[in-house]
Parts: sequence; C-alpha cells; structure tokens
Amino acid sequence: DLFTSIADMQNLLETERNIPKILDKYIHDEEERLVQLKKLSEEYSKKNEISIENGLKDITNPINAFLLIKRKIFDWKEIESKMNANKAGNVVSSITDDSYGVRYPTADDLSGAAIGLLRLQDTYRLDTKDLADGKIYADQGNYTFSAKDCFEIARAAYNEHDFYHTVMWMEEAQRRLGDEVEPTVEVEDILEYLAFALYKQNNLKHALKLTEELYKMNPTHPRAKGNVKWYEDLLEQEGVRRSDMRKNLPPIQNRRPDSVLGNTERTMYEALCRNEVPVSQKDISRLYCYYKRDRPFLVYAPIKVEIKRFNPLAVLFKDVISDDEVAAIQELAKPKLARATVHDSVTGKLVTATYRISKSAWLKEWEGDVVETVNKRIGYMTNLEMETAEELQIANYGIGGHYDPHFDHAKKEESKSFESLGTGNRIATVLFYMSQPSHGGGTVFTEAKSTILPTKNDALFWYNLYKQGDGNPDTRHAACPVLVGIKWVSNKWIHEKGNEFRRPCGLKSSDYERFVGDLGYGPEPRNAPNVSPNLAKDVWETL
Amino acid sequence: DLFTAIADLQHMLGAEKDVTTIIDQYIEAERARLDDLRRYAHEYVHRNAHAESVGPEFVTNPINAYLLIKRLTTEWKKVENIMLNNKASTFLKNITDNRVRSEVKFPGEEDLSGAATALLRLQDTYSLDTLDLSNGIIGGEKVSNKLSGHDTFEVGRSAYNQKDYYHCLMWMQVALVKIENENPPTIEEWEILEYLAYSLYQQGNVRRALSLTKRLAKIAPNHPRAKGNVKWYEDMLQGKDMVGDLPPIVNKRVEYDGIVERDAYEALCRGEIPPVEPKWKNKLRCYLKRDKPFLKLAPIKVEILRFDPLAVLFKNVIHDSEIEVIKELASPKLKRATVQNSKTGELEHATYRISKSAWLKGDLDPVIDRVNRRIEDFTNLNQATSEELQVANYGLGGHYDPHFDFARKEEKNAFKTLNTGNRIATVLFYMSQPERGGATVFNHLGTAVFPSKNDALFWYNLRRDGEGDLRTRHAACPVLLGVKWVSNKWIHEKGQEFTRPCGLEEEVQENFIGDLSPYANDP
Repeated sequence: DLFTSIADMQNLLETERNIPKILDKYIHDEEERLVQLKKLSEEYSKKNEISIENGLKDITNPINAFLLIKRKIFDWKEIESKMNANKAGNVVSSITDDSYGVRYPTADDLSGAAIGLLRLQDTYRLDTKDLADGKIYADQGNYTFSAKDCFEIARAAYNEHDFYHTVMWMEEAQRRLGDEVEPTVEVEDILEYLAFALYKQNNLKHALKLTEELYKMNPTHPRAKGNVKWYEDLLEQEGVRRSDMRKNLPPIQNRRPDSVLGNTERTMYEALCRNEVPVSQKDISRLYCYYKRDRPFLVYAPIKVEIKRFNPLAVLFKDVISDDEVAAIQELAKPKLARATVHDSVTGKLVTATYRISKSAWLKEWEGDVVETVNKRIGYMTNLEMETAEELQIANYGIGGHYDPHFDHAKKEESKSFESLGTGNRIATVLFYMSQPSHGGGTVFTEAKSTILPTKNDALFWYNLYKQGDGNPDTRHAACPVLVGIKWVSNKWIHEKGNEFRRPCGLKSSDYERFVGDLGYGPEPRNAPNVSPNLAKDVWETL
Repeated sequence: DLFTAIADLQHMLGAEKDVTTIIDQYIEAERARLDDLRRYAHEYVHRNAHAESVGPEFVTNPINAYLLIKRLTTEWKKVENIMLNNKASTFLKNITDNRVRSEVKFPGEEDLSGAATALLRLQDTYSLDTLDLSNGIIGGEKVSNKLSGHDTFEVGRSAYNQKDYYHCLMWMQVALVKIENENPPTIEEWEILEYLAYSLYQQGNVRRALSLTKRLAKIAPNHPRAKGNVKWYEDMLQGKDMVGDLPPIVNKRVEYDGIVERDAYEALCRGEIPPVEPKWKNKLRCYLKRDKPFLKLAPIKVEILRFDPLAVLFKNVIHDSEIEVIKELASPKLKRATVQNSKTGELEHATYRISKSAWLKGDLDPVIDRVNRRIEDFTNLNQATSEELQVANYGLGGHYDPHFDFARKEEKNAFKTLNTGNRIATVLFYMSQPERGGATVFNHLGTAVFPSKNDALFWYNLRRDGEGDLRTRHAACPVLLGVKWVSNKWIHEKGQEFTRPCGLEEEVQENFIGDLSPYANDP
C-alpha cells in the first residue's frame, strides 16, 4: 500500500537513483560470466574431440574410463553452475527487498493510486481533461497522461464496479487516442469497456452505438456481435422499436454511485473540503483571539489562541510547535509508519482501518526529548492531564489520502473501546499541523459544518465529550484528501481519567466551555485578561 | 548406471559435440539480453535526471506520484523480466533433451562412484598394486594416463562411502604420496588425512590414526572435529603403550560369506588354473564336426576344452560382419540385465549382474536367423524352443558373479512362463576379445576359458537324466583392458527328446557333441 504515504515515495526516489548503477554493475558481471562460459565451452569441446580421436583406447581402459566419467561430471557441473549463475535474481531481490529500507510498488499500489486520483477528482470537482493534462487549479504539471494512462485509470475504476468514473476516463482516453501519432492503447479495448459502462449507467442506446462501431471495426471480435444483439433485446424490452434504436440518442447519463456514508453526508463532506459551505456573518463576528495566560508559566509566555467555532468549541493554538520540533518528530516517526489502526468497537482490539488512508506511528515520551517537551506544552495549552493521554500519534497522508467522517470518542454502544487502556473515553483531541499542503488536506466537521485548513506549526483542539461525560455528536469530523503537497499531522488524544478537577462536570447538560479551560465562572478572555479565576481581583487589575 | 556398458560411453562422446553448439547459442542469447538491459539502464538515468531536478516535491503532486508508481510497477517489471529472463534453464533443457533424443546417458554421481568401485574390483581380481594402478601401470605396462591426487582421493572416497576401509586406506595413502609432487595440490592434505585417519582406526590402527589426526589438527587448526578425535583416540589408547615406533599397518580385507568361492574365482580370473588331471590330459583333442549332411561340405572345427562335464569351443562360428550387425541391432536395446526371480518367476533386475543386455528375435534380421540355424548345426539341438539371442556388453569392471544357468529343484517357478522346460545347454559367442581379463570361469571345476573372438563356448547344463549339473556353476571375470561383447543362446529341454535322449545309466555323459550313446564310455 505504497500509495498511502508520500514519505515512502520520497524514499523511493532516492533509491531510484541507485538503480542505474546497480544495473550497470549487473551487466558488467554478466559479461564477465559469459566470457568465462565461452572459455569453458571451448575447453569442453576440445576435451570431447580428443576423447573421440582416442577412440576405444580411451574408454576401454579402466583408468581412462574413470577419468573420462569424472571429467564429464566435474566439467559439466562447472558449466552448468556458470550458466545458472545469473545474478539477476539476487540483484532484483536486493533492489526490492526490505533490506534497502524502501518498499517497491506492486500492482495493488498502482490500482490504489488510481483510486486515490479519482477521490481527488470527486472531492475537488476536478475536470477529467484538466486532471489528465496535469492541471490542478492554476498549477500546470510537467506530465500529461497518455491515452493508455487514462485507460488504466478507467480500468481501475471498472474493476471496482465504479462505472461513473469508468465512463469519464474511457471517454478521455478515446479523445486522447485521436491525437496520438502512435496509439498507446487499442481503440477496440476502449470501446468495449466504455460501452459496458454506459450500459451500466443506463445509456443503452449509446452502448449499442459504440458496440456496433466495435463490430464494424473488427467483425471477428469475440463478443461484439453477441453484445449488439443483447443491447437490442434490452432496448426492445424497454419498448423501443427496432427502427428507433439508433435514433434520438438522449444525453449521456452518468450518475454518481451512492456513498456508504450516505449521499447527504458525502455531499456536505466534499463541499466542506472545498471550503464552500458559507458561515454566517453573525457567527464570524463573535469569533476572537486571545492570549492564554491562565497558568503561571504562561503569564510570561502566553499562548496565542484563535477561536474557530463555539458550541462545540474548537480553537487553533498558534505557533505551538517549531520547525525543528516538526523535523525531529518526523525523523522519529518515519521508521515506524504503518497503516493506521482504530479500536474495534465490538472487541476492543486495535484493527487496521480500511477507511483510514494514511500511515501512522506512535511515539512515547522516552523516545525523544522533543516528544516530552511537546507533551508538557499540550498540558499548558489544554489545562488537561497528560499522564493518562495516549501516545503522540504521527500520520503521513499519501496521494488521495483521507479519513472518512468519524468520532474520536467511543459512542454509548461502543462500550468496549478503550477498555484495555482503563482511562475512560477520549475527552479531547489535539491535532498538530506539521506541514501545510498547497491544496486540500483540511479538517472538516460535518455536523458543525466548519472547515479548518492546515496551517503549519499550529494545533487544532476540541472537546469530544459534553461536560457531563456524554459524547458530543457535533464533533463528527473527517480529514480531506490532499490535492497538492504533503500532509503530516500528529494527534494527542486526552482521556477522562485525571481530569476531574481540570474539567469538572457542569451543573446542567447544556453547559459548555466558552474558552479553553473555562471552569464555568470568571470572565471570558474577550472582556478580561485570561487569568485564573482563583487569583485575587487586584492581581487581575495589575496585568 | 553408465559404467555398466562401454557402448554408452562411446555413444555419449559422439553426441556431446552438440552440447558445445547449444552452449554457444546460449552465450549469444545472453549477450543480446545484456544489450537490452544496457539500453534500459540508460533510459533510467535520463528519467531520474528529470525527477531529481524537481526535487522531493516531485511526488507531492498526485499526477507525478501516480506516474512514478506506474513506471515502477510496469516498467520495473520489464527490467525485472529482462534480468530474470536468463535462458540458461531453457538451454540446459535443450541439452538434456538433445541427450535424451540421442539416447545418450550422461554420467551422474552414481556413475562416478560406480566407476571407482569397478576400479577396486579390478584391483582385487587381478592383484594390482595401488600405486601402479594410479600411475596407469597394469601388468608392468604403462597403458593409461596417471591419476591426479584428486582423482586418487575420489576413488578412496567411493570406497569410504561403501564402508570399504580396506581400499579407502590404500588409496588415501597413495593420494597423500601424489600430492607431494603436485604444485599446486589437486586436493588439500587435510581432506586426505581425515579419511585416512578414520580408515586406519576402523582397520585397528589406532596409534597411526592418532598420529595422523594430530597432524590434521596442526595443519587445519579450525577443523571442527580434529581436536575431538585426538582426544577420542587417546582415550582408546588409555593404559597402552603410546611411545616408541608405530606398529606396522594392519589392513585386513573384508570377509564375506563366499570367501572360498571368491578366492578361487579371482585366481581363475588371473589365469592361475590348476593343471588338468592326467586322466583327461591325453584325451583332449580337436575334431571336425561333420555329422550332418551340410557339415560334410562345411565342417565345424571343435576344440574339446574339458570332459566330465563336456565343454567345447566351436571355432570361427560367427563372422566379423555378423558381429557388427548384431552389435548394431543390440545397441539401442541395451539395458540392465534381468534374471528370473526363483520365487515369483518374474523377471527382475539383478544387482549382481553388471552388464547391459538386449534380446534379439530370429525374424529381426537375416543374420539372427542364420546364426540360429548355425547353432542347431553345431549343437544338434532343436532351436524352436530356445530363448532369443541375448547380447551383452560389459562395462568398466563389468562381471557376472558365480551362478547356474539352469533352475535348480527348489526354483520351481523359473521358466514357468516359457513352458519349455529347463535350460539344457548354453552357447556363449565371444564377439570381441578384451586385451586382458573377461574370462568365463567354472569355479568348482577349476577351469577358465579366455575369450577368443568369433568362437563360441558350449556346455550342457543338465545331465542326461534331466537333473541340473552342479559342476556347471560359472562366472564372468571383470574386463581389465579392452571391451567385451558376448551373445548367449540358452537352449531348453522341450524338443530335445530325440536329439539328446536320456541315458540308461546315471553316469552317462557325452564324450563329444551329439553323442547319442546310452551307455557310459570313456572318450
């Protein structure tokens, strides 16, 4: 699953540089081997000729017969081993084996990469032609797809029974084929797939038309004639007269298949990813920034907080992780990147999530000073207990990498999640943005209808649970696919246990924080310095 | 089992010419493959140059990322196929197929081992000195190439693998002598010492084994077993004299059940034949067989070799051109000799008969038919019920251990399927004349017949009363130099009622071929 991580591909490029050198050495070794084999062959031939010339004398003498047999065996063994000594197997293994530290892509990776491209196309409503021309918004890429490239993406979609994308990309392949001096794919292949996909998307007349073209093009095609008959029969069942089957072709329908998320949620998710969901001016006008100074240390080194949304509260802590720290964390994480896992809500065990397309690594405090420093800082940022929090999780998203809408907390029915941790539910989430993609990669809340685009060095924070402990369904969120650029994030999930005095229960179920660390009394930072309400009033006035 | 027939070796040498042609074809194909690969490596460099100019951001664009993955999955597969497309296995298969088509048997490890075992048999049978043999000297005459130290070692190792420490000891000693004169040595001294020490130990020479193992430990300090073995031999010698001169080497030849028969057999093979009894000496003679109308014009020359039981040599009864035809017909059919299992009556491979055999029917060629008619002329026995002509080619050290040609009383099922009774007589044509060895010997009678080309040996297996004659136990001696081709004709009882009638007395036997006398007579 190489396509799920950009880091893997960057490593791959580095290793690629070595391949020509390895090939050259292999070629040289092989030529040496052939020279030796030639020599052995000549010696073998010479010895054989001598034996023949000696005639019976050589083989009717027991000593000579023994020597002849022995020489045949040992000489032949040497020739055979020289012929079999092709080092290609070893060279190929050394290039593709894990010992190089780089995983080489397989056919699954290619297929996955194609699916990733289709996801990007859908999420960001990219035109097929533009995408195939390497255009992404204003960016003009250096490569364009050949007809064969388009054909293969279409075929990947076809193999997933995704006829919506099959139609689009096969049509693009057909268009490009017309411009190619040397065709990269057979038009017959395109027509066959395209016709079937059109049929599946309820364009029977178009399917018939294309299949007839295919039949005229190649009367010996194994399936064309049968398919023409079949499409005609289907049209007849729909009440279309034979004389009308090739007339009045309606516009092509290409309905997008239903989403497992539900089409409504998917539509919202994608609109949010494109940042197209309007936010009311009234709500925007209520948002503000403040300096967090409610801890003694922060009095002199306040944290800049930008409130992104109220109810449920979501804030962005600005400049809370330095570039150096980001680089160090990435370095620690790279060797560990593995497919993201989630808790199975029934068994409570960690399982690989097919719907989470990213690579993840977990870092413990003792693995690096930087991890410990960041953990301490999270405590200052959130006022929450770090002792019971999960390890720092690092994730790297690859081409089309995303995370479908989900909750970070366990719902009531998911009673076994986090049981093994013994620290209660996930009370809050901290999400560090360690890189800033050029396009895409946002974090969106599908119920709260808000979008936060990644900004490097910042951290997004929200409470997952109501103050009385129940999960807040408005915190349902998702990661958007990265369109251009690279996305690194790290997560810190904070648990209930240990936060009884840091985030005490509210007296009413509707109680919620007005700001991070809100204990329910004391002024809002909007109107007053963000200091601990436990301090005397006169101290407030001196700041 | 290549070593069991010389014909296979001759055939192989001819066919092997094709092998080098196939190897040359392989080399050309490989060169073409490397050219493809070189071209591809160049393209690779060109592509990489572009990706590098963009830098690490190259893969953060989804189009570039996809194309990179595609290039690596599909185009790398091309490179991989070119690299892995080594045609060696195809060409090696061509060579194997070529050999199969030519019916060539290429030697394997078993053949090498068998060849070595055959050498040892020749050594024993003909009392050959190990050093002489390894220097290509047989009977005081230089007849072949020398064995190298490694060659000599291989013979010793074959003996070792047969747990034959008697021969292993001898040959390893000679190997040690030989490598002293080799520069560089063809085998490492420590390898020889390891086998030699163990053989000495097995033959009861513990002190010498200890001495050599110490030398081994000194030469090869990292040898995994040397130190352990030194300790072991020392423990065995505990309480015994470990100083002073080493005792003479004891190298006892292994015993087996037929020791008496073996010694007699080997002596006869060497031509150490006991003198003929005075009783028969003056009566041995040659005569012209003219007892049939045809033979009056073309008599057969008969040499009486032995009376009681009668054995004769028919002289010049098969022509060189007939021999050539028979060999040609037999070569494609040569395979391991079979014998009838005395319990089941089924034919099976005989491990003790080291030769290749082929069976030729009378209607296969006019020559076979003619030979069959001639056999009737010189034996006076009916050929309609005899077995097909069996042709055998003996290989290196090929021999046939002592045996009877007839089925004994307890072997009830033998020849049952033929339904022609027991084997009443044997005709043995000598189709070649080895330079040394290859005799036919009769163990109990103490007589040996050395092959003479174009002649045929004949004897009756059964007495006149139909009982098997135990005195006819015989064997074939290993060929020391040269090649041996023989053909056999086994004649059966049925149909011989008037050609060889029963005698009236138990002691009745022929004094000449075709003797119909019902009474015992002195010749």
